[in-house]
Amino acid sequence: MRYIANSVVSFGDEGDEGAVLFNPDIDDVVFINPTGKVIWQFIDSPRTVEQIAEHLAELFRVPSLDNVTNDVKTFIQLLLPDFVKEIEANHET
Amino acid sequence: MRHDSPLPQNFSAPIPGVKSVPKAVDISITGRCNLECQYCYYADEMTALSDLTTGQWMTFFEELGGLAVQRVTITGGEAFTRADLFTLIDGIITNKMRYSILSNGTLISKEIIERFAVGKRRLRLDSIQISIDGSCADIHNRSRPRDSFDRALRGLRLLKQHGFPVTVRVTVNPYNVEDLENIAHLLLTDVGLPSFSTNEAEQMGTARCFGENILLTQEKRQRASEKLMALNEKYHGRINAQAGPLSRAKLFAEIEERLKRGETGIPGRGSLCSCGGVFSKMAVLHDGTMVPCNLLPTLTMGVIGVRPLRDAWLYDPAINAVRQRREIPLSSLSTCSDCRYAGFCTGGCPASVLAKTGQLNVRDPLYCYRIYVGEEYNNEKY
Repeated sequence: MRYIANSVVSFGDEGDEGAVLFNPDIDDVVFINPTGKVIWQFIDSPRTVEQIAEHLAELFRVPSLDNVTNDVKTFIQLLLPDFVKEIEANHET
Repeated sequence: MRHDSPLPQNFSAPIPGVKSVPKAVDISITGRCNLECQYCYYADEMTALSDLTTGQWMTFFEELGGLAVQRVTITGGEAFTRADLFTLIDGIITNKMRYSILSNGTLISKEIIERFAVGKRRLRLDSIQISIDGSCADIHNRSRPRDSFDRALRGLRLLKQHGFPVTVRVTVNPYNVEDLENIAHLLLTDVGLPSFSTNEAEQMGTARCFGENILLTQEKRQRASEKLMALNEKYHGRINAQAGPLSRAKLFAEIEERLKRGETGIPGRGSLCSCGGVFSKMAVLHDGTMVPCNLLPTLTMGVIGVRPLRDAWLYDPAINAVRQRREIPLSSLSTCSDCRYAGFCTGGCPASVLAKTGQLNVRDPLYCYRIYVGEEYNNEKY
C-alpha cells in the first residue's frame, strides 16, 4: 500500500511549531509537528510506509527502523482518509 | 501613561502570538451596488475607489492559497453585481479555500441558485448572509430603496428552499425597533431560519448623511435592547449579536450578575480588548487596499499585488496598533481611570470609536456600563 497527500489539503507552515493542514472540502484542520511536516512533504508523490520510514531514518540518522516505522504508521492512520489518500501498490497514479 | 492620543507609532514589529498568516480574509470584490441604503458603512469607499479586474483577484487568490489562508468572505458593494462572481468563487475553490458571501439578497434568482450547483461551489460555501431590516416592505424599505424588501425576501426564501446555509443580519435602526418581534417571527417561524444576527446602524458611510434619521437615540437603543433580550429568551437563544443593542444588553446583564456576586472584574477584560478579529483575519477593499478590517478603511496597509499580504499581516503598524489595543488598560484612560466597573469592560469596537472620535485608543461610550446605569453623563453625542 502507498500513501499520498490529498491534493485538496492546504499546508500552512508554522515554522518550528509544525504546520496546519486544512481540508476545505470537509472544513477540518489537523496540526502536525515538525517531523510530520517532513513526512507531509515527502508524500507529495505515492510512498509506502517503509519508504517514508527509511527517508526519516536517513534524515534524522536513526539506526533502527522499527520505532520509526511504527510512528509513520500511526501518523498515516491519523490522517486517513481525508488528509492522506491510500493507493493500491500496483495502481499507477 | 495616558493613551488618549492619535494612532500610536512604531508598531512595525510582529506581535507575539500572532500566526504567520491570517486564517481568513474579507474581500470587497466590488464597490458597485444595486441599492443605496441609508446606513451603508462602505459607501465612502464605493464612490472613491475602482474595482480590481478578474485577473488581479485571481492572482491574489493564488497568493492566499500559497499561504494556506482557509477562508474568504466575499462582500461589496453587492457581490452579485459582478458578472464574474462565479469565476472568482472558482478561483477561491481552486486555491484550497472555503468562502462566505454577504449580500443584500435582491439579485438572487433561480439562475443564480443553479450556478451554485457547479463543481464544489456548494461544498465549499460556509454561508450566505442576507440583510433584512423589517418584517414587511413598509419597514424594510424605509432604510433601503423602494421594492428592495420583496426582492430580498424572495432571495432569502429561494436560498432556504434549496438548502443553502443562509443567515440573516438585521441592522437595528429607528424604523424597525418596534418591528423586532415581527421580524423575529418572520425569520425564525415563517422562513424557518435556525437563527439570525443583529447589529446597529453606525456612524459610518451614508449614515453620516442620514445621521439623525438612521442612528438610534439612547431611548430607542434601550428599547431595542429590552425587546431583543426578551425575544432571545422567547426563541431560546436563536438571536445572535457581535455588536449592537443585543450584544451590549448581554454584556451589561453579565456585569450586573457579577456585581451581585461581589466580583470586581472578568478575567481577560479591563483593557481595550473587545476585538479579536485582527488576530485571525484582515480585509481587502475593492481597489486592492489591505486594511485590518473593512470597517477600518482609513488604516491602510498597502495594496495587494504590490506588497505581499504576509508582510502586511505581520509587520504593518496599522494592524499591529489595533492588536496592541488590548495591552492598554482602561485604567490608563482619562475616561475610565476612576471607574469601579473598568475590570468588566472591553472598550467597544475600534472601528466604531475611530469613526466617531478620530482616535483609536479610546473607549466607546456606548459600551460604557457607568454611562448605561446613569452614573456618568454621556456628553459625547453618541
